[in-house]
Amino acid sequence: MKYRHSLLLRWVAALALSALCLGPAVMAQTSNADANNSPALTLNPAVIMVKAKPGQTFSQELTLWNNTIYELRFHMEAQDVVVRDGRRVFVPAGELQGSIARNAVFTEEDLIALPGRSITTRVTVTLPPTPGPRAIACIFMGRSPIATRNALSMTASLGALVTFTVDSDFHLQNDPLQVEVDEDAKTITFREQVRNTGRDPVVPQGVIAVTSEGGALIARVPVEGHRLLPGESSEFTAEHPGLPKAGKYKVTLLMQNESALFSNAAEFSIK
Amino acid sequence: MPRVTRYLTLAAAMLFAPAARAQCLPAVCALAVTIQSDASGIALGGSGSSAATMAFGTMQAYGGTVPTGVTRTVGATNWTISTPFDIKVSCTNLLNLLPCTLIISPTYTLTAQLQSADGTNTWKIGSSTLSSATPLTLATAGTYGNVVPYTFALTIPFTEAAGTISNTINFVAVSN
Repeated sequence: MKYRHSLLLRWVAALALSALCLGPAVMAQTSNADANNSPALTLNPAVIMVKAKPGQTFSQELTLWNNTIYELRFHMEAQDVVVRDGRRVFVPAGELQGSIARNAVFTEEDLIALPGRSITTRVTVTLPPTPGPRAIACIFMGRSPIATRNALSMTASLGALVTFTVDSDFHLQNDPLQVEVDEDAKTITFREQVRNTGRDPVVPQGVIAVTSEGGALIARVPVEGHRLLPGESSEFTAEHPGLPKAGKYKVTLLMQNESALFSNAAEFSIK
Repeated sequence: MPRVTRYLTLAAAMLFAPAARAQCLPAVCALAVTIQSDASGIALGGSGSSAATMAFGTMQAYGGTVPTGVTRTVGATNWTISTPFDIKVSCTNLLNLLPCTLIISPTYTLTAQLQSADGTNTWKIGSSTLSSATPLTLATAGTYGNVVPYTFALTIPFTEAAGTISNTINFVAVSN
């Protein structure tokens, strides 16, 4: 029976993995049905995580659905994404030393999306010898003047984020875990400031365990993953609804990134 | 870099690159952006879609008609019209059509940029001025699915002759 369960699990895992790996051709069909539900622009995929060495080439199809009533024109632009003063900044290709966006080539640079139709382009990127940034945005930049007199037109453009792991250099720095008990709202909020001090992007995520003085597990709260580019920091928060009975409690935060696990702990009490 | 040179560079890189190709993992998610009328703002043409228009009709600094939801402010040397509007960015997991929680961070970056330069009038979103040269960052960690209100403002100097004013704001959303 255990063997059967194991086979079933393997089959489900393989199915999920193959769904992830089939690539844009399959995703396009699924997304089109979904995209038809709203008169918006939809881009797929939205994020691509690439592991590559300098000199290696990466290629990916990007598809945009136009479910508006307008015929829309787009120009493909690649921009480097870096963190300056703690904020992500989009820098035109070629401006940065080791620019990756400079080496991005699109099979179609200017595209016209008819109402209800999709457009596809393939981006091919070769990593420079010493890549500076670790992410680029491949943007379908709107170029359609929806002209009406005395009017302001507003168009949306969508960009796919492509992150590059080059050195497998993953380092995180974290502040002490903060616990806030709101007795009026009857919630407990956990906050952890995490900074990416490595050279490559990371997506830390984890779980918080609340235990009593006796060591009994009282609550377990998942901590949602945030992508952090090199130099970027973010506050990871999790909220637990409801308060345990009066007493002292210990909180243990266990987080994982691409290469390691790390933990942090704090204590709080309920009166 | 000229296109021909770029293609040659790419071809050379592909020919002489190490045999192993980069490994990639595309997130199975679709990103969508919609521009909507705000309850207390002007009614947008194409509200709820990715391409909308904000038509003010004929307006003047003194007198005339001010469209519903538009505020007119007259200063010493110029006058301003402003109105709120909403933007929603969503991200859907294509495997189960639920909001993405895996692989994608639960936030996005939103920038805005004027399509054509305007040296006479001042175009703003919130308190920040738009330009055609540099994108203005509106959100660095916007939450998917939230309808976020922004205020658009156009300031027109009294020195400007009467005429038609139009432009396009390009909103760019990128997943974090």
